[in-house]
Amino acid sequence: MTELRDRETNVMELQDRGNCLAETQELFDVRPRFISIEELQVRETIAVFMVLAMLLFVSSVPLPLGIPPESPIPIHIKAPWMFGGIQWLLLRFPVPIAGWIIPAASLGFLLTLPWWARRAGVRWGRFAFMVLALFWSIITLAYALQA
Amino acid sequence: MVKPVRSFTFLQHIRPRRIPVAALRFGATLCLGGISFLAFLITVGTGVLLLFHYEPGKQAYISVASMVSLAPYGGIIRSLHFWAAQGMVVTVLFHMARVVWHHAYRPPREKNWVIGVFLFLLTLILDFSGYLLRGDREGAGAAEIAQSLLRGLPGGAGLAALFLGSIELGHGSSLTLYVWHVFILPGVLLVLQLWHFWRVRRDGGVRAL
Ligand code: HEM
Repeated sequence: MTELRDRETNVMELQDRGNCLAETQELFDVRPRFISIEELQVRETIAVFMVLAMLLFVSSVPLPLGIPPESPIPIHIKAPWMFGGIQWLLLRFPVPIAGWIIPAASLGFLLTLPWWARRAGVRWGRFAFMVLALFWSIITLAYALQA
Repeated sequence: MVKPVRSFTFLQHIRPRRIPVAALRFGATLCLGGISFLAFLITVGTGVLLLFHYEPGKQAYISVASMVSLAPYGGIIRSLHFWAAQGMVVTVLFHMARVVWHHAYRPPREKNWVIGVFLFLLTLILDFSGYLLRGDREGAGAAEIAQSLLRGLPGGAGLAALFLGSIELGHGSSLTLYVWHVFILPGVLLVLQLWHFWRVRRDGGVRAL
């Protein structure tokens, strides 16, 4: 009887060890595990329907047109939102600086980010990108609020 | 014995049969690159429909106004085109931020990052050119600013004519701008996007943190 129980305990112990080994392998297995692209396709299909539904909902609100070209109202310059930041700068700084140098420097920074983040460290890359993004977001918002 | 032919096509490369499990996680991409491409496709689809009614040049404003009231589903198609385009600018921006957050621009992905920066720039310019094509007062004002900025560059008068054509105050739209907006910019953007997707696979798939 006791022999049988001992054997059972042994088997359970062995099973435990086996499970433990599988878990350890899972934890430390760094090899990429692969899966069929169908898994991605299912998610993509769901995402497409969700985006389309959202877009249709937003688009059901009529989209206004601006002032007609032959209107007698004096011209009012209003930059589109994605260039609102540049317009905000143009209203305050000399044209070459606001219209070319600052945007070109920002673009230059973006283009070279991988190379200098390698030297300064990725944390600094993240930080500098956030500062730049914040700068453009704030002036774009400032222009939208004033226009 | 006949050797099996390993067919390699561009599509098979960007859509391989098996992908790493880690790349499937929502947090790995937040779906932002994919949604940007979807927004691009919707903009192209609705843009083609808009072509049936839109007239570049002095008739631009009237053609847009009449499209909304006369053409079947004109209003909703115009709205979809506009919102998909704005959505694309926003998702491209967030996609770029996601890449920075995951440090996914590190080697070997730096080339794809550079392609991405050009995609971002082109997306902005494409959106801006659409704003001008409406031919309203606001578009005309923005065209004036773009024109004077370009003219400030050496050889700028030629550049302004090349990109904007003969835009006069009060008529934001021109045939030149129309050609850029409808054919050249989306064409270049499409080619760059396909190159971008090809590189994603080339660099070993999405870099999940
Ligand atoms: C038209 C605009 C764009 C489209 C349609 C697009 C699409 C995509 C897609 C579908 C992916 C796969 C992973 C994901 O969805 O995040 C990807 C990855 C990537 N994108 Fe973009 N992208 C665009 C713009 C950009 C921009 C503006 C940048 C950066 C400046 C960029 C940099 C990258 C990089 C570095 C990867 C690889 C990321 C990784 O391996 O985790 N892309 N892009």
